[in-house]
This record gives sequence, structure tokens and C-alpha cells, in this order.
Amino acid sequence: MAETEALLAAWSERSGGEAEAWARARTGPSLESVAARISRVPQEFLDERVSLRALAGDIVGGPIAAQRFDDDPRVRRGAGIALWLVASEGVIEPLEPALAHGRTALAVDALALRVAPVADPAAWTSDDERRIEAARTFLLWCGYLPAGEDAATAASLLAACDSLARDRALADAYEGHRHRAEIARKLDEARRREAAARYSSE
Amino acid sequence: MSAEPEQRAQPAPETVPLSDEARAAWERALALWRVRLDDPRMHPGAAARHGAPAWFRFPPSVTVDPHYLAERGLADELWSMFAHEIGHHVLAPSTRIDALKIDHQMARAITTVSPRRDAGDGARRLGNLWSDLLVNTRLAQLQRAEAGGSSTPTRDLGIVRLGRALYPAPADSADRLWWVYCRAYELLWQLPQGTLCAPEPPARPVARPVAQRPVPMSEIPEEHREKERLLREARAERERVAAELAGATATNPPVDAALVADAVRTFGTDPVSGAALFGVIAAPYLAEQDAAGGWPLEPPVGCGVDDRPATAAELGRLLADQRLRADLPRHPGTVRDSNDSVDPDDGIDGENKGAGQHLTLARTLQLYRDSGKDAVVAAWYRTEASAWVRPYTRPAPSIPTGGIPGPLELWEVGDALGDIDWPVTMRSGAVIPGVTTRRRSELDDEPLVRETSLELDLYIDSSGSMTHPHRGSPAVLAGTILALSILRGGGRVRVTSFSGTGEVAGMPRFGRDPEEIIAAISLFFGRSTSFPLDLYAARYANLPQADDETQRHVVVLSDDGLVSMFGVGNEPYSGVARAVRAVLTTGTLVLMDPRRQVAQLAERDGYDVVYLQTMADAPAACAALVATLHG
Repeated sequence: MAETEALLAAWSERSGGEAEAWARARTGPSLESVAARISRVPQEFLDERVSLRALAGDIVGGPIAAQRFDDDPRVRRGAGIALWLVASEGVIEPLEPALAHGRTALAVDALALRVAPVADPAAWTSDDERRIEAARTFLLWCGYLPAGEDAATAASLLAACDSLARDRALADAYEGHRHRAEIARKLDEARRREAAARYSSE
Repeated sequence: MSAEPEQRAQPAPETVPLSDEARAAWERALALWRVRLDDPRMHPGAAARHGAPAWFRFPPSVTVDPHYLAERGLADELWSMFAHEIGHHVLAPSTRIDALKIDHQMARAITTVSPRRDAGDGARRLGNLWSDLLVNTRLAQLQRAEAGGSSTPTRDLGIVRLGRALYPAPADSADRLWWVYCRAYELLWQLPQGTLCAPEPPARPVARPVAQRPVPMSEIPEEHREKERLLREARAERERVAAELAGATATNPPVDAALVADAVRTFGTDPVSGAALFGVIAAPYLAEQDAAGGWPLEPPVGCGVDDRPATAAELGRLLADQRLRADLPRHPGTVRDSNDSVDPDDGIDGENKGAGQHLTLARTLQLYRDSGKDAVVAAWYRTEASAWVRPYTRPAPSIPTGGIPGPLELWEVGDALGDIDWPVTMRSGAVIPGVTTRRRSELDDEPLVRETSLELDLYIDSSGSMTHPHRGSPAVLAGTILALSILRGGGRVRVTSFSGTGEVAGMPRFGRDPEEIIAAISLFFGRSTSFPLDLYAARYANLPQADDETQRHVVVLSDDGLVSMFGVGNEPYSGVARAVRAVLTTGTLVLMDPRRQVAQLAERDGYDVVYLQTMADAPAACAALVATLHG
């Protein structure tokens, strides 16, 4: 399994910058319609025996950056779900506007390399919050804003559910608590020393 | 939006009938939650009087100030305000007892991080915030479903419109907890950052050091100066580390808001359990506020609960709830990996562990001060004792039972004719009464073993050397376990509390009323110790020896001051304990006497002794007693 940092670095190299992505995004399908498709991912798209390279070639018509990491189950599942979103327009019906008109390969890599390493794709179907994160990320990198949202709103709402930012904030908070616990231990020790130094004046 | 808020000294506004619009709004709100309630009370102008535009109370009712919304251009959201208040009756707290339990959880969390803070102070505010979070989150989901799903923008949902109008704090607000609360709504409702609160939280308040002026060294006696110098060095070091701790923040508003949102999603239908987690996240903000000397909190827009104190019955139910007795959860920010509930390699949050999580009796009395001390004390000791109460009984006198055929015996003239065993008698050929006649004898079977109830005469020392019942007394706990166990076995108890000469109170006769018994056990004089030998002698004067039929059991809970029971300092009565013991079945002293001062006297007069030191010893002491009492 690849290191999370290596996957994120690969995504950083591939993405071309988030500011540019927000700048080019235009109104797309509703968030709920994309999230609902994620919930309905067929098992075939998650099957480990299916070649990611072949699947990507069939659905987006070319290679994707994520296929370099196809030995990582998180990347495979993330890419599989993203590829299903693209394929579902032919299986169910096209979304409005159609995802196929956007940057589908980049969106697949976004889910596989940016979201999957920090939020297990298994949770995308079971956890509303993670499903929304995946749907928002896919739409952004596909070149869309969720229907009814402007870029500022969409950016704020994606930031609010971003697992990577959340993990980093939690790590900071953990360090803060650990530091405080250490000082609390020192304070207990200082209190004990003070108690030992007390004396009776009688 | 509030539960019945505090009354202010202004004339009560008139209640007006429901208008057609208001009734339609009420019916729509009821349909949203799929419940039926009595019509709401409409009090125009009540917001100014009560400080809240709407509130609920138990038994379920809702009161709303319709002018409040109209003045803010939100008259069309009256139904959302109704729905919010109804949500309190449906979801959180839903019942008065659950409201009390939520406050109790908050008080536990506050006590853990602010040991010196009044247990009730802040608990109500945190309880209100938590209940509002649950109700408003669910309400937004229901309103979205009612509006037809995803097509309605979140910001146009009724409760979100109300929240946007009522929740934002003033620009100069320093209330960090309120920021966390508003940011949590933004996350739960998926509103862009900055909708309900500023993008950045208010700055952390600076802890105010407590300055103390030390006594000049010149005023310290010469022989103590070196010790004083060492003490001052240790104190200075402690103050330096304490200041460092005060400067190390335990709060991180953006992270805590996300954790609060997680707690709401996780505990959406279990307000009481979730309250513990919310309390653990929110209470450090109150501690932070205390350290900074306090600052004005934002107006309590959220709902409260009514101010009627918990009744004795409610206290019993409340304190018995295991969710309120379990350890508080760890602050989620102290868990590195979400899959590991406990991080084994560090002691983070060690200050939250252990004794501080369980409300002591003193803290419980503080929290329920309006319920009356006696009710709180009785409920607390009953709850603490409940895990250890077993039916205490004694064997009843055995009743021999016959029925087992024994060897053949000679049947003689004069015996009952029906006793003749004819088949055996006829085997001899001739029937000669008294010679060949036989009868079958009958042997006794094992006697039936039965248990019967006990009567216990309990004496409890309430002198000043005993721990005050309000501070958690091992003797009172042991007495409560004993008494309730006797009652559970169907028996009766008489309790006598004693301290100095003439300071005797309790029950004149044996009884089975647990409230009367616990009230007598927890009675406290707090004076000198003098066992009431005159009363003891009078009660057992001229009685015959105890036997299997008539059993008498005495237990005395006391400390080393019980030497007075054996006439020390009361010589005219020095033989009473021995004389009474002669007519008792068992006499047991349960003593907090580490120096074993009473042991010799007790042994001389035939009393058993069980030792007790802490609350934790009480169950073991009672277990030892049950064997003695059972015999």
C-alpha cells in the first residue's frame, strides 16, 4: 500500500491547483444526485480482479494517474467509485448537465488520490458526511459547482467536510491536549513537592 | 425559543386566542413531527418579560410571543418556532426527567474541568445548547423533507432562517463557546462559513493570575525561616507550572465545532448519552472563562428547562440511571486514531479520569440544592447502596416432617387399630394381638429449611468525629445497605442516631418505611460521643434470653468514641452493654477505629467487631455482617 503522503504528492502534481479549479467551475448537477449515484455503486466497480487501467480506458477513454497506484486498495476503490459516476450516465441516465462533458479523468484522480487516502472509500456509501465530501470533490474537479451554489459557498462547504484538513486540525488538537496533559502532570508533581514542604509552626 | 424562563418583575401579559394563521402554523408544526399536543399559549410581548420569545414546559405545553417574530419580519416562520418547541417535547429533552439527566451530565463534565465551580452553574446553559442542537438539526431534516427534498436551498429552510436571525452574536462577542455552537450549526446545516458566526473565533481570554501577598520573612519566627524558604520555593514553582498550564489551551474552537457536529450526528436520538460527550467538549470553555475571571455570555437564545426542583422520586430515578454513573467519554480531540477509543501510550486526559467524573454527594447537593437536602441525601445513599442490597434473612426454626417408612414394630393392645400392618401380620398365620400383630414405624425426614425475616436494631454514631453524611459517610452508606437489605428480606429496622448526652433521635419502634429509615440514618448532631446506655438498657430490660423463635440483633456504627458504650466516662452504666448482650442473638460493632481502641472492651462484653474505613469498605463490611446475622 502506498504512503498517504506519496498519494497526496501525486495528486498535487496532477491537480494543477485548486484556485484554478474553482475559477473554471460552472453550474453542474445537484449534489444530491451525485451523492445518490455514489450510494448505488455496483460491486463490479470495486472488484479487485478488474484492471483499473482497462476500466479507465473503457470509461474515460485513456489512462489516469491513479493507475500507477493500483496496488493500493484505497486508490482502487476510490477510482472505481469515481469511474462508476462517469459510467452511470450510460447505465442510468445522464445527469444535467452531463458529467461526461467535464474533466472526468481529473475528477477520477481527485477521488482516488486526494480523497481516498484520507477518507476510506468504504465509508462513502455508509457515511453521509464522507459521501458528500466525495461528491463535492468530484464535481469540483470535473469542472462543476453543485446546482444552486456559487463558488464561494461551494468552496466553504467543501472545506467544512474536507477529511484532510480535518485530520490535520485534529492532529494539532491532539498535540495541544498532549502538551497540556504533560504540564498537568508537572503541576501534580509541583503540588506534591509543595505539600511535602509544608511544616507545622507549633 | 426557550423552556420556561425565569420570571421577571413585570405584569404578566395577556394570553390571546390562536388566530387562524397561528392555528394553521401550529397544525403544520404538529404534522411535521407527527404528534398531537394541546394548543399553544400565545403571549404577545412575553419575550420582553421573559427574555425568550418561546418556551416549553412539562407537562407538555408551548408558549410563544407572536410579536417577537413579526417585529423581525419573520411572522411567516411562526410555524418553525412552534416546530422547534414541539421538537423539545418529541426529541430533546422530551421528558422532564431526561432534561434533568442532561443537566446532570453537563454538571459532571463541568466538575471535571472546573473543580471549584458550582456544579449547577453552567449545566443548564450547556444542556440548553445541546437540546437545541439536536432539535434544530432534526427539524432542518424534517423541513427539507416537507419541502420536497433537495430542491430547497438550505438557507431557505424555516429553522435556518430563524437561526440566521436569532443566533449570530454581536461582532465584538468574546464568547468562544457561542462561536463553537454557531459554527456547529453551519457544519450541520451545510451553510457557508461566516453565515452564523465570524470566520475566525474570538481570541482566547488571558488567564488572570491570582496574586497573593506573602508574609514578610522578617515576620516568620527564626527557627522556621529555612522551612519557610523551601516552602516558598516549592510554591513559586507550583504557581509557575500552573500559569503554564493556564496558558496551554484545552480549547480549539474550529476543531471543537466539528466534534460537536459529529456528536449531534452520532447521538441524534439519545440526548442523555450524547450530553456527556457534548459536555466534555464544551465544559473547557467555561473553565477558560473562569480562569479569565468571567465575561458576559451571549444571551441564552436556546431553550432551557423549567426551574422546578427535582422531586424525591425524580432524584431516585435520575441518580439510578447507569448512563449518569458511567465514566465520562474522553475528549475526542485526545484520541489520535478514531479506531482506538483509548490511546494506550499516553496519559492524556488523565485529569479527566477517576473520581472527578462521579458527582460526589457534596456536588450532588449543590446541583439539587432546591430539592431539599434530605431528599438528595436519601436518593444519593439509596443509589450508592443499591448495587449491594441483597435480601438478608435468617433460618426459621426447623419443622420436622415425617413420612419415611421405618422398621416393623410390635402392635400392642391399646394402639390404634388402623396402625396394624395387616399383610405383614397375616404372614405369621395367626393373629394374636400384642404377639403376632405388627405395625410399620415412621421415621422423620430431613427438616424443612426455611428462611424468615430479620429485625435489626441499628445504632449510628452522629458525633462530630464521624464523617458528615453530606460529605459521603462510610457509616451511613453501610447503614443504608444494611437497612435496605433487611427490608428486602421482609424484615424491620429500628434506627437510633446518637451523639452527646441527651442527643438521641431516630425511630421509636421497628418499621419498614425506607424514607423514614434513611432519614434517621443520615441524621447528624455533630457533637461529642456518648452512647445512650440508659435508652439501651430500658429497651432490653427484663427480656428473656433470645432463642430460635425470638431473635434480637443489634448493630452499632461508630468510631473509637464508642468506648462510652462500655461505660468509659459513664461508669454508673458500665454493665449495660454486657447485660443487654446477654439477651441478644447477635451484637456487632461496625467501627472506624484504626487504632482498635474498642476491640478489647467489645470482646470482653461479647460483641463482634467489623472494621470500616472508607466508602469502598462499606459493602465488604455489610457482607461480613450478613454472615453474622444469618447465623
